[in-house]
Amino acid sequence: MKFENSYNEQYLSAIENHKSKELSLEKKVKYNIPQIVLENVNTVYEGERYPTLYDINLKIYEGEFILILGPNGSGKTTLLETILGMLPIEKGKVKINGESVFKNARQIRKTMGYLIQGVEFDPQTPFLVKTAVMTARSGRLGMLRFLKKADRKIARFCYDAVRNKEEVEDYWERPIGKLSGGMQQKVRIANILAAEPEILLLDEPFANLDINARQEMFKLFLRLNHFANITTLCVTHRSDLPKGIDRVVMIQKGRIVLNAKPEIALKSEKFKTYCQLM
Amino acid sequence: MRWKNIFIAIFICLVAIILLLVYSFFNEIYFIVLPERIMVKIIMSAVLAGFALSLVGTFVVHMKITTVGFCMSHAAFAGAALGLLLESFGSGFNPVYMAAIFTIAVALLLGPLSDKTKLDSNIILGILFSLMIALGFIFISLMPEGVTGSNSMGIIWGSLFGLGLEELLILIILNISVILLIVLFYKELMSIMLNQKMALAAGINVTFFKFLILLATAIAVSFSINIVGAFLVYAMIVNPTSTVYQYVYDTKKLFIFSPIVGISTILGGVFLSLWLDFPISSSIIVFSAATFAISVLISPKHQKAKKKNENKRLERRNLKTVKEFFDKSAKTWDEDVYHDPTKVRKIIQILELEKGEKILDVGTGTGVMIPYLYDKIKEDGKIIAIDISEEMISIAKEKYLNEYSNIEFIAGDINKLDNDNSFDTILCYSCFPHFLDQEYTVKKMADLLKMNGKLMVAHSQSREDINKIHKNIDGIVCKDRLPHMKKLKMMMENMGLKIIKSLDNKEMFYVVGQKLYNTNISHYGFFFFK
Repeated sequence: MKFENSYNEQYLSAIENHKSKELSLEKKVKYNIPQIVLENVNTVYEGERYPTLYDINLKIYEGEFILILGPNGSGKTTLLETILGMLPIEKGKVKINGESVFKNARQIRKTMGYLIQGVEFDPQTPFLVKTAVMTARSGRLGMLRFLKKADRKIARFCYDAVRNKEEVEDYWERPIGKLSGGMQQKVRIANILAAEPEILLLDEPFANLDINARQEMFKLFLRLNHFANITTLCVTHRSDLPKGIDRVVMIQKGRIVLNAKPEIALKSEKFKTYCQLM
Repeated sequence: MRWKNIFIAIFICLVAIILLLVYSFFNEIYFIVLPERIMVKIIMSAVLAGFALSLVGTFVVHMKITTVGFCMSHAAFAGAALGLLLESFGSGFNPVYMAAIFTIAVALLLGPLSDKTKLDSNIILGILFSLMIALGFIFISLMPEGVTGSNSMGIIWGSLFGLGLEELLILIILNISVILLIVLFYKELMSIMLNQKMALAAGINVTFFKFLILLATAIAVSFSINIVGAFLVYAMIVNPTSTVYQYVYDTKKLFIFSPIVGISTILGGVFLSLWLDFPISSSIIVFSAATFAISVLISPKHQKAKKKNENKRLERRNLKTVKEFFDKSAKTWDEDVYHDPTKVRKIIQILELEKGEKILDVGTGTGVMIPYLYDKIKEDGKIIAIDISEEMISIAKEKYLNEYSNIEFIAGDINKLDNDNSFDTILCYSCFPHFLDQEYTVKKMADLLKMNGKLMVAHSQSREDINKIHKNIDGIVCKDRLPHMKKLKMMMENMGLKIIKSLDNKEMFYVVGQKLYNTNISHYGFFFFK
């Protein structure tokens, strides 16, 4: 399929073929220049005395798939929102592609797909699914540019890739508030995918999803990472390490306690104790 | 894009009205000269005020900041009171502008205040609202006697002859700019209205657009207080949109219908006031509240689901009704349903049955599979045939009980059998779609198997055909579906069965799983297990 108006053809073809393509052994991670850099960052919520994140140092390279683990309240979401520049930081630097996030926050956010955790839509909300899927792409397009047919086509395509075509009815023209929690989650995933982001920040992407959908979604994210080189940060509180990830970052009490490849992480004491707790 | 055309039409109408007004202004044709002209002016002001208020109302209701309505209207009240006070001291300043200054100040204050204090904007609005009332009362108490009873108080209570030419012009400009705002920034506004945090994460300037909406609300409120009255103007923001909310799920329709409802309720209120000689603001509000009440009563959103569907759903969940369905169709089953013997033989072949095995035939029905199974296992083995329907079992008994000695028939639910791990093979032929809880039944069947025993789910048609057949049946089984091969495999794998054979083509559908370990713990909820 050919798409007009697309930012990244490779990305859409990765979505298109995510069911058939197998992961190849070699992956292109550009290890020379880091894409996201956090230097000695302390994040403090306003009015709080103590920082939620202490002294975070993290370098993320383009094309990496990173799993962020940690118990509830450890600061996983705060880390993502710090990277997005949505929270004020007390000290340190947050840089994306060499530029400070706070300098041009909106432009940077446009290239990042942030899946927000636990957004629920009111059952009476007068929004159709087709409108809801468009919102992230509207942001990416920028002001005073109208949504074209090609944009709607891409949104529809992403939605089709996310929902299970064989099993689930087409909810494209249904009010979003009436969908189940799992379907709403899928709509939100389709929403961020439609913006063709360069960095994916996924906050609990598998919440409310059934086993089948969980595996499907994870496969889709892996394929995007593998074939379109989309840097992915996936937050979860599970303790199982799926194949295909590049790094595990574990946060406890606002500090990074583990930052290693999955093979090394599996052997480390901290990971083992964490697994026992979970 | 029909809705866009409607907006363009409204836009053209407004431009026509503005041209007319400008023309009449320069030719000194004022509306107030003749009674008909007064009517024209009243209707025009009603239309313009209704349009502006209800259009900004769509945003306000959507973003759940309805308190902004109260706050704005009381700011307008305070401003108007100050304006009247100044007027009574002889300044030539139109009180409406004072009201506009107050409302715009509220719009300006709201964003920074709620950012600074980290409070919900509704709370800030509550504080500002009470402050505005207090200020308004102070200004009124300062007024010299005589002013409070005069015509100029129309600004607070509303009046029929309210809007002057200037105010009409400003309202027209406001309407045009709100329409332009919607057309130009439609996608941004949509994103903000759906979820502000999601919009923020998508890189949309949420603060700016929120401020624009507040500014539009401020101007709309302050320039329409002359007709609706400062005290009750907020009702015109909330009511039309809430009325339309009862009917539509699509935001585009909301933008089209709430101005229509807004205009018609204001017009209705004006005529009610003329007819019964009520105060105008009260009659407008009474009229719009009545519209809202009626719309709630007849709204399809609040009606319960139709009874027909409800019954169907109840039926579907019930084991009894499934049983009744098969009891009813038992007598004619063998005539109605045809099973291709060659395909059935092939299925039996795949199972690789040996002499003396103990077999469970789930959903045996009229015993279609029994002769084929008996062929393989002979006298040493044992077949237990279970079916939910008693009628079916009695027909099967008639056919085979005397012929074969080693068959036991059970009429009942498979989920209620004892877990005895005694079966070599479980065959689930042409019945899987009818299980009420498929996953649980798979677990049950896995429990019934011996170690290394086999479970087969088979059909002698393709999956699509089977689902089509069920779809066309008139009865409770019309929603029973055979799951997708992948899902079925996953169910079996999760219950500790290793898939050894499977086929899904136009002719046949089968999966064979072999029990490799006991599963007292199911692996639900892990996207990664191996």
